[in-house]
Amino acid sequence: MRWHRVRVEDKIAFREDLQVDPTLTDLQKRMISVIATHWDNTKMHAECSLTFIARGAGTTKKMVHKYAASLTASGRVSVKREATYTTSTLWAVNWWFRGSPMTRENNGGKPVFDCRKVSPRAAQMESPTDAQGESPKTSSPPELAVPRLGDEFLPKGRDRRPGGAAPDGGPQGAPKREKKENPHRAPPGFAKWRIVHAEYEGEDGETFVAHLRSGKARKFVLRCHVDSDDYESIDRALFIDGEPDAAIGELICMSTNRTGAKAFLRAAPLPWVDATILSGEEREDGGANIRVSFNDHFSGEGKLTLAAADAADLLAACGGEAETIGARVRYRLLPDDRMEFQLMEAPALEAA
Amino acid sequence: MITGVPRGLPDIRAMAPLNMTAGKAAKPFTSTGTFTMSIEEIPLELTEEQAEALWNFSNEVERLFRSSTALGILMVIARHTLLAGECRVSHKAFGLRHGKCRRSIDVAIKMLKRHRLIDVVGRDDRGAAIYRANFDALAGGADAVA
Repeated sequence: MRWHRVRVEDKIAFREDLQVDPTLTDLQKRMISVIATHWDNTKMHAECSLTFIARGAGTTKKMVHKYAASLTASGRVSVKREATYTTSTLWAVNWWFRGSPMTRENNGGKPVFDCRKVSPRAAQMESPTDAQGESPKTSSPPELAVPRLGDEFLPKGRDRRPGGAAPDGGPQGAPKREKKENPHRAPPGFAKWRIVHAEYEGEDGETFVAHLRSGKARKFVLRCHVDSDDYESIDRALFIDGEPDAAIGELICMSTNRTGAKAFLRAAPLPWVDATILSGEEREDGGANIRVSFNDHFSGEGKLTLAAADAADLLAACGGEAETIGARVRYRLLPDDRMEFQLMEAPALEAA
Repeated sequence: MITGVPRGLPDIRAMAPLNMTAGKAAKPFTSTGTFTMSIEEIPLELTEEQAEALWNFSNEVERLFRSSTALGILMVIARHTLLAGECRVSHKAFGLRHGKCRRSIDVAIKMLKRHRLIDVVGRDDRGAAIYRANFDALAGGADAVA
């Protein structure tokens, strides 16, 4: 028995958890299930082309192509190697992902990316520090999200009912309306604009001119010298770098101050970058220098210089310093230049 | 109707203890080495062979159904059948687990019953149905599930 073998119990727990995941449609569940079914335990990946998934899920290749991004975004599967003309896509499966409603409720609305690291107490909304003492509530803590005989599947603590009945016995089917939070909203003090035209003007080309439109079709003309603070800020946000045509059509957040230099932010995070962490060392100021290899077509190596807050985020995403090396993560640059990390594949654990 | 062992599967009926009180689990120790047994002497975790059989069974069933509700319910019933010989989980608990309303659960269970994948083996004292997964239903091919 090899130490990294995925046991059948893990597969069953994954599938039972997949089937009750409220964030996925049935078609997505079937596609993920096809990948999980054809997992190769010796090669530790599933080799499934889009046509193969379409056939297994009872749909068309066009639909699989359309939904493939949402499958990887769900966190359950990820693309280990893209398809080429002669080989199929290799998929990695995160067998220890848990996204059932009960798990989400106990984890603050978020799924658990590696249920092996989450202690049973932590799954019951107790922080690890105060879980050291005796807990009268649970004599034997049940394992996370693994259905057992005699389970009544009742989430503890709250009265959550299917069908969205109001807690005060209100009418069925009327879900409690909560205050909506728009995640794409511009940060306070900024407004979103779309760049419709950008060029360098003047006899030396030293004045940058951009025509902006807001969501309400208001116009704004930005005219600034290339040495000014405005230009430095927009160049840092958009990487214009002497090519104004590339900025046309981009969304950008501009500060709403009426006097003084305008400040600019990116309107959306940059795309995810998929990378495997090779090594890392900590600096004196709390940051970290990290060497990574990128899991894209070029598969080169690179260095990341993380600030202290970013390094702490990375450690939190991976779950510890020892688990960071060898982990496959994806990261992206948020509009305010912070980095967001997400663990895709835990590193191979040492043999117990 | 169908009396053979499912293709490619070990004989699950031999593994499942049919009688709750008399049934003794073949292997109370799981691969993790922990002793898991409930008060009624029903094992809490599947053994390796039972898990393999349940995995293969769910693979075959997935080709038949598109509804994840029906698949999830069937997997719960199959797991309980392997462990205890029957499944006493109520429809309400299924609804809570899947986030579906009573009618969706009823439709899914009706479909499973029509395809002979589960049978009602009795009623408990409150009148709720006790189900048992029928692992033979897939062995006969298309005519068994049609």
